[in-house]
Amino acid sequence: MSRLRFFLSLLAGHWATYLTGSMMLAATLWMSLAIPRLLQKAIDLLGRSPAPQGEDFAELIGWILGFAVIIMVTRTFSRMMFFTPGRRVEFALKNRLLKHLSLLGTDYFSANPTGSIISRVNNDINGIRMTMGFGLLALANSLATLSLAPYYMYVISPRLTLYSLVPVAVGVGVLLIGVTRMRSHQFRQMESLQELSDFVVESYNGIDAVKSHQAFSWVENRFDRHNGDVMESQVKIFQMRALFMPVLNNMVNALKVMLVLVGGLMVVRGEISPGNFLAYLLYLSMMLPPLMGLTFLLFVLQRGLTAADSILSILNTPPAYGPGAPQAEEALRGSIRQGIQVNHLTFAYPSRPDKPVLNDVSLNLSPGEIVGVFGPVGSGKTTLVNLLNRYLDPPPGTITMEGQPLQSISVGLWRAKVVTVTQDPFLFSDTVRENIQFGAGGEPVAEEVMQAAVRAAQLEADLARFPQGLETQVGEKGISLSGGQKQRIALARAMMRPCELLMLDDPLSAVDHETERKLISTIYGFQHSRALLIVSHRVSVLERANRILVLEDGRVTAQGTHQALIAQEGAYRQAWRLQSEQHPPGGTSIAEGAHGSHS
Amino acid sequence: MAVTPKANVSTRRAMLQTLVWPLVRNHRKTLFLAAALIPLSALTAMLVPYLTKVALDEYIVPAAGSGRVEEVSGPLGVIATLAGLVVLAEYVIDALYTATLQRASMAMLTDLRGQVFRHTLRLPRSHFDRNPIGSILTRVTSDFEALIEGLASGVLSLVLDAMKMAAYLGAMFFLNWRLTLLVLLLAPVLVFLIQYFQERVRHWFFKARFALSEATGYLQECLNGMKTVQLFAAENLVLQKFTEKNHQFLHAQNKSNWYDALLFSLVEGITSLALGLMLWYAAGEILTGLITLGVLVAFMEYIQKLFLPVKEISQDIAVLQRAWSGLEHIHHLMNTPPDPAQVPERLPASGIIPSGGPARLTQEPLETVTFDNVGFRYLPDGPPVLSGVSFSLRAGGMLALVGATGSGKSSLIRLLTRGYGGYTGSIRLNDRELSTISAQELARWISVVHQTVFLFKGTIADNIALGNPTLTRAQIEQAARYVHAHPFIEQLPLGYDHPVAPGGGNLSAGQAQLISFARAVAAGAPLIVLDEATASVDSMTEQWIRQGLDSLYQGKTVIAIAHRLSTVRHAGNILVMDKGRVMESGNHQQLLAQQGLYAALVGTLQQEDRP
Repeated sequence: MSRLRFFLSLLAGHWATYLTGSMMLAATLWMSLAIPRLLQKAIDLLGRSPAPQGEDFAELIGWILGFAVIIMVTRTFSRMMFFTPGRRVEFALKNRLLKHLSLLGTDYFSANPTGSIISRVNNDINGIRMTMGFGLLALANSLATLSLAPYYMYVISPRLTLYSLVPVAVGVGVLLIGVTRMRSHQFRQMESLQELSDFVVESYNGIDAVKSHQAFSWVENRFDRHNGDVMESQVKIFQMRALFMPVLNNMVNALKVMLVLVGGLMVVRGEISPGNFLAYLLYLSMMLPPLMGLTFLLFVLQRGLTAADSILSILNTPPAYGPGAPQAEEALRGSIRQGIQVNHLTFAYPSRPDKPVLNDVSLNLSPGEIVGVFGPVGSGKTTLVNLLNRYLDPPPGTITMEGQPLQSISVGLWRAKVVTVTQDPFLFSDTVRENIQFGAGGEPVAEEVMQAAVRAAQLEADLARFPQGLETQVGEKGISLSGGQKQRIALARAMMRPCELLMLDDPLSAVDHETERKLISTIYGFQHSRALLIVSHRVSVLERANRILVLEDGRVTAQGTHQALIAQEGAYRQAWRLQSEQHPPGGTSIAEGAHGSHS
Repeated sequence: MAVTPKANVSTRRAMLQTLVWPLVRNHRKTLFLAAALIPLSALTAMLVPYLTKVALDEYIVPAAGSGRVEEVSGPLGVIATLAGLVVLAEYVIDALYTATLQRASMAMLTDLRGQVFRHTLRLPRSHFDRNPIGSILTRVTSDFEALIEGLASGVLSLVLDAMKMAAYLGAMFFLNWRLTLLVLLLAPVLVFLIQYFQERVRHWFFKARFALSEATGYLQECLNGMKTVQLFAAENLVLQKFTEKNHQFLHAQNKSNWYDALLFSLVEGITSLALGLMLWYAAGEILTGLITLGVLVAFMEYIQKLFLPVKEISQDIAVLQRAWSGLEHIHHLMNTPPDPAQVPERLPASGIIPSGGPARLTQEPLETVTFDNVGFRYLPDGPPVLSGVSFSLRAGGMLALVGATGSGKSSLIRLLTRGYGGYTGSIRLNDRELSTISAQELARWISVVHQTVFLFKGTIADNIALGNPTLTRAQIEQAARYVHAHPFIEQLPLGYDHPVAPGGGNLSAGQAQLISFARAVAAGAPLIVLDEATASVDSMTEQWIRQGLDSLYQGKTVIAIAHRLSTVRHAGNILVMDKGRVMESGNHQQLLAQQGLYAALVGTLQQEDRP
């Protein structure tokens, strides 16, 4: 999308408001420009040698007072009619941005840190809002006043107007130079402030290292350098401002001085009346605000344009996933029978194309089946999970659901059918309930479903200790949770919605052994018609799976049941030995424990 | 955003005395110069309308339409020249005044910001636990922007505007006191309306700010948790919540805009009203010659200039209030007592490294580390996280801590490194109680290797020499060699000068680990406290790390939170912890033989993939 089309799309739907606002503005300007003429007439009436007609004079004063009152109303509305669409554009644009961001893939978020996206959403949209609100108003106001006021001035005296316009042009020129030069300083100032705040964040993040190594002077010297940069750049801006900002005001004052000399002599010659002299003086004063607005406008427009570029760079990033094909999606209506197939999947990260993380992996996940994936750290387990849930993009044809290639199914539909509990779950700083309910993606959740999930995830005892049970706030604004509690909330979250494949990627790493036993038993019991994929390097978690894949260096080196795998030499058997040697009661006790907790 | 309670009088005084006054004193010369310019500026602003009046009444009006140009042009030229000079002077004085004062205010703020940053660095660990970094950062950046605005435009223009108003009013009284009183009749109305509307503007402005920070906070969460959002297909859910929060912002902002627009229009309208009323009243007096045209013109100029500052003063006050609340935040932060252990102490001037390598820093060699019945709670009424912990470690020995998450291992380490104070029982290094040892001194005894390594933006050498900027390159290299970090550093294009991205983004987790080992060795402390990382690294790096750890275990006294089987095998003594207590202790073989908690926990340790 081009910048022009972007701005036009923002204007859409607000034309009527802007038009009404412009009419209000026109009325306001007409009245405020009429006041000096009314004053002029009144003054000249007073100066006339036979005493003025009282009624004529009172009428003039009445008009002035009346206009003053009406102006208050029309001015208010004219401002609102420009500001409100600006605010609405801001509102809509923010929502549009988040909507678009939610369609973008991993690549985008790893290339663009959260901080920089946030600053775009806030600062850049601010720039757009100012252009669409204040900017357009200043444009309309300046254009109208700066064409009408000189016209009335011209009517009073063409010669005086000619004399005044030359200094105005010079003043505006000087100011434009100043504003342009100030912009580069402003850029530098923002940059230095950003550097400072980045440095402060870095220091706080590394505060433990700073303290334990007593590296205060190291950090402080760097801070002082950044702090000094901020000051220097800010002072530069202040100096420029001090130099250029008063120019217009002083220029108008200079014009008034000129008026005293030139206009005064014209009055003496009888070319203009004293009333005209006064009206002219008022017109000069009235030109000051729009002139200032004009330079402000330049700044706002410039900012709006850069902001538009920055926002368009988000909006023009194509979504990570294409739409689904209707026939393929039709095949997934209702519950699926064939399940999910992985066919000869080989995958390498784009950063290391020569080093495949998964190598020729094939796998069937039929409904009702429990498949375990075992492998040491770095064997590609998590990559497999991330390909199955489309967090990563698998090569075409390697993954199908119900015989339909993954790429022909919309990502929304796919993820409604494939649910993942990740190793390091993310919780919002919201209530426990909201965090669990999140798994339903906005669908209403029955209280029984919620309670069942809480029970299944062994959260009842924890909730009883929380100050407000399910309504307890967690995260930044609430209580902090242990790793195990987070994992169990994530587990409950995954149970909110029926799905076809539930994947648990080492979900119990931070859970103690006792709880782990209970959880395994409920997880195995919870599974009904869906397929279940459990990833772990702990044999005790996988024992009861229908089938276990052993993954080493991205290859499936063995597969079979627990019994089959411990009967043959290999990584699985080795791990089983080591782990059960350290758990003297062995796997059987886990099974017993699980049965025990069932009753 | 918490609403700051109004500070009472004594805190205000304390704030001015401790924060503001020292800054003012340091920059008093510049401030004095600026203050001296204020009356000059007000005087020049007042002069032009007055000169106009003189020109009109004395020369222009008496000669109006008479065509006696020669007679009038001389004096008018003189007046115009004078007025021109005044305008020029006004420009110079204003520019000078603004530039001086703003430079002074920036310098003051730069000082203050440095003080605040130094203070926050020394705040206790608990402060960082309670306050998200974002909010502390706000203190150092946004509050300062409010302060800059408050000082540079608030105080400045407030004083100047007040002075100018006084000058205008003085001139008006001098010209015609009855007309001035008439104009002043409108003033209470104006002031009341401005006060009222501006209060409403502020009210909604703060609401809008709050709504905005809520929306931004939520957005940040959504972005951080985007993977989760997408995996649960919850895009619409979060969008809906975000829209709600945005809508609150829109609503508050619209309200604020309404009142703002009304305020703007009122001031404009009342100025016109005043002109009309004045003319109405003056009509009679002009006829009787009591008021001249020149007076009327001067009044019109003054009224326009007078009402603008009334509005601006009210705005300045708002800016000042914002600055004041920023100052309150800062004052509050500065009054948060620093970590008692972190109060700075002068380092020996003669560099810290005695010749002979990075190994020796302390005068007194470390002999024993003793925990004697140590207990600890994070909150006075909270549950105990440690109770009855006792052990003793001799120099050169190694102690490993094993236990589930939440068993108290990390708390024990934090106590020892004085991340937290307030333990019961006794912790001693040799025979000195830990709580009597300053952080500076402690850093010469103990070096900490954290689980997550924090690397600063800078070079590899900078990061190794973090605690000790005086280290030579040879000493840095020696430390790196000691932990087997040298081979990988040498392979980097710029070696020790290789730039590290903020947070160490361009190095692998394993490489970062090795740098942290080198950092600990470079610091030269005899006791290394180690929270082993659990990050998965490739087998090559894994081997380096194991070598690095082996060197540490052999050459140093080590207390480690163990996540690896190889670590516990090295340890002369292993403490098995559960719920803040030491449940078992002994070496690997002894503990395995006990078939207790340790035997159950061993399975959770990281085994070497390729022994």
